[in-house]
Amino acid sequence: VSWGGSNPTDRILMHLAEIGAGRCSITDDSIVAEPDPDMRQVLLGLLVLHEDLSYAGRQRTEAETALLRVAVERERLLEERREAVEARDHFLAVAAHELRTPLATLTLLVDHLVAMRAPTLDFDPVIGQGQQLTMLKRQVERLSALVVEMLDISQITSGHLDLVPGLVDLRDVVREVIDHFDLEIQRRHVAVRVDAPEPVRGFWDAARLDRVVTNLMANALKYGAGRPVEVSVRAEGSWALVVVRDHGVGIPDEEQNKTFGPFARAVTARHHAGLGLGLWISEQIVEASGGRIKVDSRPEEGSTFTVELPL
Amino acid sequence: VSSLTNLPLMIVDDDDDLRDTIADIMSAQGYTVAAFADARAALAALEGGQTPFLILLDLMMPGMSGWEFRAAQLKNPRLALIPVVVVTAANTFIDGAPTLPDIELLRKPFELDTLLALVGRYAAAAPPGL
Repeated sequence: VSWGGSNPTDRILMHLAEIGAGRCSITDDSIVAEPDPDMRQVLLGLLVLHEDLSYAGRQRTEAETALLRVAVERERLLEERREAVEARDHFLAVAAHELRTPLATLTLLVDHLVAMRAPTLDFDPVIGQGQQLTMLKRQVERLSALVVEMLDISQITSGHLDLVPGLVDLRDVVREVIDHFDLEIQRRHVAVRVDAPEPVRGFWDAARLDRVVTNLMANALKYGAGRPVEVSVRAEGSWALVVVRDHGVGIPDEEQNKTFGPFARAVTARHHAGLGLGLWISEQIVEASGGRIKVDSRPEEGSTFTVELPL
Repeated sequence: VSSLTNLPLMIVDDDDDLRDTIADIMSAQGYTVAAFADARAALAALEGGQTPFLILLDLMMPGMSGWEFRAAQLKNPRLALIPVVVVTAANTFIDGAPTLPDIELLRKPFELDTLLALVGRYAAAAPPGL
């Protein structure tokens, strides 16, 4: 291409158009051959402009490629994470499932041994076999509770918490839970006061509510510092309320919004064992039942948990 | 309870220990127990004339599954009315137990009292002459 015949303005505009299109029609030779010194300066300026622009362009392309690579990598990591979560949930479901059959056998055998036990066994000089059986029974129950909890977790995380509703009197639920804690209540010398003057009946999943109240009672005893625990059951408008109040260590303000999170534990794990999922599961169960669960707590004054269920 | 003595109870479960435990306990309770590890053999026993007042049925079994057993049982009018309780690990989205209509579930693990009460309830409702 020869630009020799055009007037200077046209030549500059044509060079600019080329540069704009990412090409360059100016060479070192054409600058040297340029007789007009002003035009030489312009051409030199245009050449520098072109080089700057193509450098910036290359940089941009590289940056875009890098960004694309990062996006692809991010998508891959997310996919990996999704798969890992899925694998974890599946494992949890299968494990909870598989553990249930041996637990069923164990439960039946222990129950049968307890039922068949001869009273003379209790006179064992070191440790009564009756007492051993009671412990065996308690440990099997603990295992069963953990497995049921695992199953609930796997159902919650996969979005299929299957409630089995039936006609329930909340007083019966509370009474059974407290009966269940009888031994622990005695051991810890805790006074448990129950205020449940009237039947509070509704259509709920009794076994799941048992777990909710069990969690609240377990926490009240665990964090209650041996002080009295108050449980009340009542109806208020169109809501059924279960309130569990302790006067123990309480939950620090900064921890309160995390209370219902998975793996949350207001007190450090060093002091208390467990999955740390009790309140999270409880909240999921209560919400799946159309209700709410709330906590009101002050450090060193205790915690009050309120479960509200639709009547 | 004495009036229930010798009532025929069928157990179909491929887990040896669980099946034997339930069978032993139920025998001790006075039931006449026929226990099967294989659903096909259980079905053959029914077709051969056994008439239990209740079948305790596991779902996930090699060979013929609990669902297939139930389907085959319902196809035979002479067997269709025999009550079935599904003994399940109750992980609904794995074992699909709720896909069986009109069937009571006994969810593992369960306590001895629960099992005895459940079987007792069906025994009390058993047709006379079994």
